Amino acid sequence: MGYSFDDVFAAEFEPLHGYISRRLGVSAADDLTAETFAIAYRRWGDLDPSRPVKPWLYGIASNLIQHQWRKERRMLRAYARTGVDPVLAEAGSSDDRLDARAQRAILAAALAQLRWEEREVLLLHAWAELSDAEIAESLSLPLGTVKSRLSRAREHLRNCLGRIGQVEAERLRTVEEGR
Amino acid sequence: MTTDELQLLREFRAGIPVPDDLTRRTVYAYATGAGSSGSQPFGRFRVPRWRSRRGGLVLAIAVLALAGTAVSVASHSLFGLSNHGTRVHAGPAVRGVLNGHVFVQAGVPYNAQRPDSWKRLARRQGIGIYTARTIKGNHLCYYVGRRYREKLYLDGYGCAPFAGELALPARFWTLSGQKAGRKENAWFRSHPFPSPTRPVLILSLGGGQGEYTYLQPVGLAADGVRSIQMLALLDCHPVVTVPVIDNAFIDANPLHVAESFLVARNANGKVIWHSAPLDPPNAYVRTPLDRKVPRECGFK
Repeated sequence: MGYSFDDVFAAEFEPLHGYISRRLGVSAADDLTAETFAIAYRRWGDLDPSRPVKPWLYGIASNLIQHQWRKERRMLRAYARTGVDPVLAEAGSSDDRLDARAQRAILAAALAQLRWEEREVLLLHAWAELSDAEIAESLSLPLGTVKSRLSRAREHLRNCLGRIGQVEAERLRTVEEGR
Repeated sequence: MTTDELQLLREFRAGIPVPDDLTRRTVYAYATGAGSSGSQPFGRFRVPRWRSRRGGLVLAIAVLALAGTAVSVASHSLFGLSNHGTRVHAGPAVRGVLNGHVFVQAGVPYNAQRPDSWKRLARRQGIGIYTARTIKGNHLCYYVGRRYREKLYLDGYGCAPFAGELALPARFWTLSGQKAGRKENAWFRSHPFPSPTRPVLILSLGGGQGEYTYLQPVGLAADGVRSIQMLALLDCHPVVTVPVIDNAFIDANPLHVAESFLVARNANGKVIWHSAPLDPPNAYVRTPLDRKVPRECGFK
């Protein structure tokens, strides 16, 4: 095996923590990242050295995140309703740009409406920056399934952004002006 | 909207804070050491750890066996608070916050806190519950702390015996009206926390405006309380259930409800106490004497 656990930890800790933070919040990310690496460490001997480690690691994380799908949906819905990013709020920072807030609130609403399987594929692609093949490896799915889920998720997002974009942006602007 | 949706998603991902070195080291130590058998290193978030159905079954039987003995202990523990906290260092930043702090309830000789008396009872999801004692009078005072832009912000929730609902965060002190607080203060005196008539100390956070007001259920509960549930005042439907861990309940997710109230449930799921109505964002403005809740909820 060309890499050690320490190498993988050094390379992947920060991106994985960031990925889980974005999905479930920083506090959850601390524990879920720890659990992901603990499982990886225990199963290190089972890892096929000819296969890339990153999809395997994100596969473990996905299994753990899946248990928290209600929490994720709740956070996305809260974001969509308020325009306040619960993840950044927990971390004590915020994006003050009104246009960015409005746009992301719409995006959060669209993500919350996605089926979990589609959201998983989409976010592994967009946030974990895995290729289609790596996602297939990560989730143990046929490549064709990954491609079709990704396509459906993107189409749903496009539809949502187009349909509710104007309305939501207007609503948030009204709220902001009222403050 | 013409922007590519993947580009928007990537921008959405940006801005997430980078974990600090302590987190990195803690995660590494957990993964390579205690991870095989220890509990979560941060303990703020429950991760399912079932390894097999058989293991789960054995654990369930053990839990049930323990629960039988625990119920008898828990049933009469509404006077107790097992979590005595861990001592924390009150740095200059904390002291700076405190020096500007004003308590608003009548009759409490407020003074600066003893720096060596600071304790943290819980810290989850970025929110911490702290206690400290005043130099003058040795009163036990409660605080909720949040970090924002690298600074610690503490909201004071009063000192025993008045702690909790009536005591307002310092920045809202003008809302208090000490005259109006006399009856309530008398009530607090006769209902100390923790006790069966007051097993929960509400330290909830609130904010926002209009329909965007929110509430974050935070507080302390006596040993006999297993969970805190927020119910909508309108129709009694449960908004959220927060487990009580080490006497503390914290839910940082901003909840949007017009009016609500809290109920405390014991290990059997029975409601053993309910709060007065909470009206966000002024979640801390509560009169314990006004304990009206919908009759159809089934509470007195």
